[in-house]
Amino acid sequence: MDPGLLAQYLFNGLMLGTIYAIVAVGFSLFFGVLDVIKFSHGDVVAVGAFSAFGAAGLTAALVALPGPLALAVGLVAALGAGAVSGVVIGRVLVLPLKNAPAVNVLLATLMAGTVLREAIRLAVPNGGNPKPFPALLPDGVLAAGSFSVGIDSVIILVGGLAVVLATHLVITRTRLGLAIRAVAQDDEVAQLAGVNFTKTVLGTFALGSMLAGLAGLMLGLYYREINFNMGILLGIIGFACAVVGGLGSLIGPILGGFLFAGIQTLATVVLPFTSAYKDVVAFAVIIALIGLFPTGLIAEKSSERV
Amino acid sequence: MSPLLACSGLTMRFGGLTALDSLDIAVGTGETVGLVGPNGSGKTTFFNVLTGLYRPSEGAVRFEASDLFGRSPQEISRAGVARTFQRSRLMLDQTVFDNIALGALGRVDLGLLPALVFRSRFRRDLSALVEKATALTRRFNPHIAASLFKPAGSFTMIDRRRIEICRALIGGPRLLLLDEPSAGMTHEETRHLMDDLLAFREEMPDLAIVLVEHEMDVIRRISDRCVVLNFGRKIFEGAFDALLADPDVQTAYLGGSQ
Repeated sequence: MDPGLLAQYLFNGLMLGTIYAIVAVGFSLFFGVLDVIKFSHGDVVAVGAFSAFGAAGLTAALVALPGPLALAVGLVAALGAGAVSGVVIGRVLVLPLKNAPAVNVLLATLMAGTVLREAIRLAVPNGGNPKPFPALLPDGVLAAGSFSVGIDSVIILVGGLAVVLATHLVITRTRLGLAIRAVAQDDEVAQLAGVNFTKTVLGTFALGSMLAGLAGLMLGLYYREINFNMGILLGIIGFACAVVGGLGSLIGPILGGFLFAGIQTLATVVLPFTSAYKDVVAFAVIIALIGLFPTGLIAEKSSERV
Repeated sequence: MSPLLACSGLTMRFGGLTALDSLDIAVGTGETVGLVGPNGSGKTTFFNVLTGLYRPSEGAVRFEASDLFGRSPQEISRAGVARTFQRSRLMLDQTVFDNIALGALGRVDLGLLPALVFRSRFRRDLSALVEKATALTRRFNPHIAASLFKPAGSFTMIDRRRIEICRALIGGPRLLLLDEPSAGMTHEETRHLMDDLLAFREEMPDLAIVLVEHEMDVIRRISDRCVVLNFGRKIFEGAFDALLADPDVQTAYLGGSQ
């Protein structure tokens, strides 16, 4: 195959992998601190995308902002909407069900996801149809031989990788991160050490949901089109990546994200006739991997009882 | 002088089971109290109630000037009560430093923003914490201080217990609750740990300690006063020598004569 085209595929795979990883990390964070699956996570992606879309549209109607400022407005809107929905869902739905069976939280958040999704469809004019996402990133193309890539895609990829790295630093290097790790390991010990449990859990939900909001913005910028139900597939992919990588770990879901995108890309490159079924191929491989590694590629280390 | 900790009429019921039955226990500043009793007599329940893991059914808990009855674990921790566990509960895949720093976390705000904005202050706080953790661990075992950034799981049982005690001490508590520090250790290791405890007690004369222990040797060496529990009731309070001679204690441990 033409190397330029191959590079093109590789680039797209990396880009999708980054977005999947960002979504998957959220699932893993929530599972880590509370042992819950928050199924509204995918729809928070759509909330982030539509908040950025709305904010950019409103400001553009009022004032003509230069590119970077308009992007900043979209970014703040996506992160803010993500954080708010994460904290509200955590406070109202997840924390009160802390001692209930995990299935209850799963069901409650699944329904919350439907509420978010339908709310977007009803609140946005003509919300059932796909919406064109404003081009907030600079135009232009970088080309080398048969390999060409838009500057906007490069910015999205670099930004996404930076966010993954930043999340890792927050978890490993900050007080909030230490509190999150402590609560994930043993919430009683954390509380006895003076960690504020509620604050830490809500902080985790805010962090994970900000990532989801950001993923929504990235998807909008990349595909230039958003849809009220864009979160369904992305939520399932993100969840699958988190499970195959290892729920509760941080590196696992990141690996899982790139793995999923890698399989999709590989399927398209090696078996071009399957490109329409790349999700089917990727999910089939993920199912096989889960069968081989039931605790995920990177298993969450449980505390050793001596 | 009023004691540091004063529990009166402390009762804990689980459904029909009374795990603690109108317990009156007082601990003075700098005092070491040995808490003894057969299995299931309520020693660990007393710790769990005192640290806020269980909400007591009745009674009063005063600590210094504050009322700790029914408070949350983090409030109690911030008031100056720290504890260790019978089974080591460390984050084994995390570094020793992270494990110990957790004990100091409650005293500072979790603010992510300050950490990002005031980098110099954050660095200063962090290096102060590293220094403190180093000093604390060196007192127990220089080997721990030298490998502060290795995972806690790579240490031996006795060092893990030392790390746990450091985690409890770094927040500067007024009262330390030690739940069977000798559990799972050889006699040799227990002796080392006792030497450690006696040494830091000398360095921190104001720190009060309540020690739950089955090893009578440990109790004899370290405690100023003993309290014996049986079925959640206090059946003895006094010096160690009187404890062994006490008929109620003998009955609780060896069974009645009738």
